[in-house]
Amino acid sequence: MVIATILYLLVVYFQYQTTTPTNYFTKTQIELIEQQQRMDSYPQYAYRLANIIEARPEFNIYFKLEKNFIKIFDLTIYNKYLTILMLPVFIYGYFCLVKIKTKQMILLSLIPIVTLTILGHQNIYGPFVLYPLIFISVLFGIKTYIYDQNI
Amino acid sequence: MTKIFNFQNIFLLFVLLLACFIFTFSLSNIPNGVYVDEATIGYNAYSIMTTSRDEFGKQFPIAFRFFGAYTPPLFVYVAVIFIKLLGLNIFSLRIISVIASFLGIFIVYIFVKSLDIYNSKYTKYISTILYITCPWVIFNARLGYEVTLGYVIFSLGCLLIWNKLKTHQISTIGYLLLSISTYIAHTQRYLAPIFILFTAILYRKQLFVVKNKKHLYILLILLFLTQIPNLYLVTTNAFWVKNTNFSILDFISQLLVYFSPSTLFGQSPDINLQHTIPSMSLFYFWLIIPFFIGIYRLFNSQKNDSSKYILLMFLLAPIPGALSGHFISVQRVLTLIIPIILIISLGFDNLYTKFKSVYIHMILAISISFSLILFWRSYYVFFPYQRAIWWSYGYQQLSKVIQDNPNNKYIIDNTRNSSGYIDLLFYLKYPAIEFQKQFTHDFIYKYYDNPPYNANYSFANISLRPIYWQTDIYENQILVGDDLAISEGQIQEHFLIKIFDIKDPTGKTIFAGYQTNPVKKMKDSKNK
Repeated sequence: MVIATILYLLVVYFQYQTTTPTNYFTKTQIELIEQQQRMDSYPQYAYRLANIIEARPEFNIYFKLEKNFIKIFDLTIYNKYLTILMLPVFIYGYFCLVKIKTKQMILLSLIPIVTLTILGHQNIYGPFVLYPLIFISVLFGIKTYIYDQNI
Repeated sequence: MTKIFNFQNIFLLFVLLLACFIFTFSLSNIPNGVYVDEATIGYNAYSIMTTSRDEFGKQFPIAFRFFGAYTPPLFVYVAVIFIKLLGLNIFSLRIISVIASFLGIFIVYIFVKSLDIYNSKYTKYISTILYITCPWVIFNARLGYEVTLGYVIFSLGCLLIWNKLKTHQISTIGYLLLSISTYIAHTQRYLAPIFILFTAILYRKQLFVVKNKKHLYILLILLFLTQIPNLYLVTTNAFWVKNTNFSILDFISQLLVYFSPSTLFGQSPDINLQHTIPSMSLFYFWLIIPFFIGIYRLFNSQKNDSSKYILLMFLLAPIPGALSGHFISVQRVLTLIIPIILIISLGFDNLYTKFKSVYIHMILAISISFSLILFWRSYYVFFPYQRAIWWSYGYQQLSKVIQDNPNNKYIIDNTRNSSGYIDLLFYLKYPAIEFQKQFTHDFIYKYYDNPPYNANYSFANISLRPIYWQTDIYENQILVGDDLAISEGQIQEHFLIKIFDIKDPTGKTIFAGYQTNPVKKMKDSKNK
C-alpha cells in the first residue's frame, strides 16, 4: 500500500508538472464580464447577497472547485483516451476492489480526485492521474469475472 | 388523536407545506413567459373545451398535431378540466405539473418504504426532502406541459407493479397506468412497452405462475383495449415523427451522456436553453457522493429483487431519449428522477449505518440550505433574466398592445419564429371556431399523415408572415418585428414611425412596432 501510494504520488507530480493550474485568485476578462452580467440581474433587495455570492473570493474558489470536481466524472472526456467498452469492466472491477480493500481504495481514489479538483483539467495529456486507478480496476474486473465471481 | 399526530405524519405535512411553497411560489410569473409548448396545449385545450375540436378543427384527436410533433393527448384533455375551472391562463396549466409532483413525493416515500434494501428509519424521510429540493424536480414541477405528468404517472405504475410483484402478484392497475402513461408523453410511449417487456423477462418466475394465469389474461385484454388508439396510430405517420435517423453509435454515445455523472450533477449538455436553469445542475453536485455509495450498495446486493428493480428503472429510463435523435434533451429522460432519488437515498441509508444520524442530519441541513440559496440565485434571479427570450417573453405585452388597439392592422414578422401565433391565440383567447375556419376538409382528413405545415396565419387584426417590403409599406398598418426584421435603414427609407417597443429583462428589443406612412412613401417614390 505504501509503495502504491508513493508511486501514485509520482504520477500526481507529473500531472502537476503538465497542467496549467486553475487560477483561483484572479479573474479573466470574460469572467469579469460574466460576473457583472450576473450582478446586474439581481433585484435591488438582494444586492448585499449579490456582493457576497458573486464578488467574494471564497465563492469564486468554491465555484471553480465545484466545476473541476464535477468534470472528473464527465464520461465523455475519457472517450478521447480510453475505449468506452472499458466502462462496465471498470465499474465491476472497481466495486470488487472496494469490497475487498475498502479503506485503501478510498484513499487511492481520493488522491487523483483531490489532485484534479485542485489543479483543474487544462492538460494536453488529459487526466492521466486517474489511469492507474482505471487500469487496475479494469484488470481486476476481468480477472474477477473470469476466475472468481463470488467476491 | 395520537395516531394522527405522530412523527411520520407531522414530517410529511412539513414536507408537503415546503413543497407547496417551492412548487407554487410565483408560479404564474416564473418562468416569466408562456413557452410555445404551454401555449399550444393551453389553446388546444381551450379549443377542445369550446368546440370539441383542436386548433386545426380535428374532433377529439388521439394525438395532437401541434407543430408536427403529434403529442400524446391526455395532458390536453386533463388541461380542459383545469381551464374550465380556472380559465385560460398559465396557472391552469402549470398547476397540473405541481399536483403531479406532489404525487411524486408520495411515490418516493412509499417506494423507499416498500423496497427491502433500506435499513434506516430515516431514509424514507430524507428521500422526500431530496425529491422536493431537487432542482430538476422543481423546474419540471412548474412547467405547463405534459412531461412531468408523464414521468409521475409512469413512476406510479412502477410503484404499484413493484408492490404486487414482491408478493408474486400482478398489479393490473400498475400496468394500466403504464399503458395510460403512453398517452401522456412521447417518452412514456416508448418506455412503457420496454419496461413491461424487461419486467416480464426479469421477474418471469414471480409473474408467470399458475395463480396469476387469470389475472394475466385479463391484463392482456385490458392492455390491448387501452392500446387500440396507439395501435391505430402505428399505421400512420403521426406515431413515427419522433424517430429520426437511428444509429447504434449515436445511441451508445447518447446513453453515455445521459448516464454521465457530470450530466446529472454538473453542467447539463442540453443545448435547448429552455430545458435548464442557468448555473444549476439537475441534482446538487454534492449528491454525487451518496449516489456513488448507492450504486455501490446496488452492486453489492445485485441478487436482491429490490436492487434489481431500482437498477431496471434506472437503466431503462434514458433509452427513449437516446433513441430519439442527435441532440441531448434532459426532458426526454425525466423518468430517471425517481430511480436516482432512490439510489441517492440508498447512499444515505448506507451512511446511517456508519455515522451517527445527528451528524448526517446536520450536514444535510447545511448542504440543502446552502444549495437552496444557490437555487434561488439561479432560478429566481438568473433564469427570468437570461432565459426570458427562450420562454416566449414579450407575447403577453404584444397581445395587450393588439387588444388595446383593435382598429389597427398588425403584420408580425415570423421569419425566425414560426410558432409565435399560438402565444397570441393563447393570450388573446381568440375564438377557436374562427381560427379553425382556415383549415380545409382535406387537411383534417389527412390529419395523422402529417400534411404540410404553413405557419403564415391571419386572424383578428393580425397577420403573421414575413414582411413584404415591396407592398406592406404602401398600406396603413403596423409592422412588428425585432431589430433584425426591421433595420434602422429600413425605418429611414420607408418613413416608419416607432409606436411601441417591447424589451426583454436584459433590455434587448423583442418586438418593436412601426406605423407605416403610405402617403409620404408614395410621394417619395413619385419624386424619385
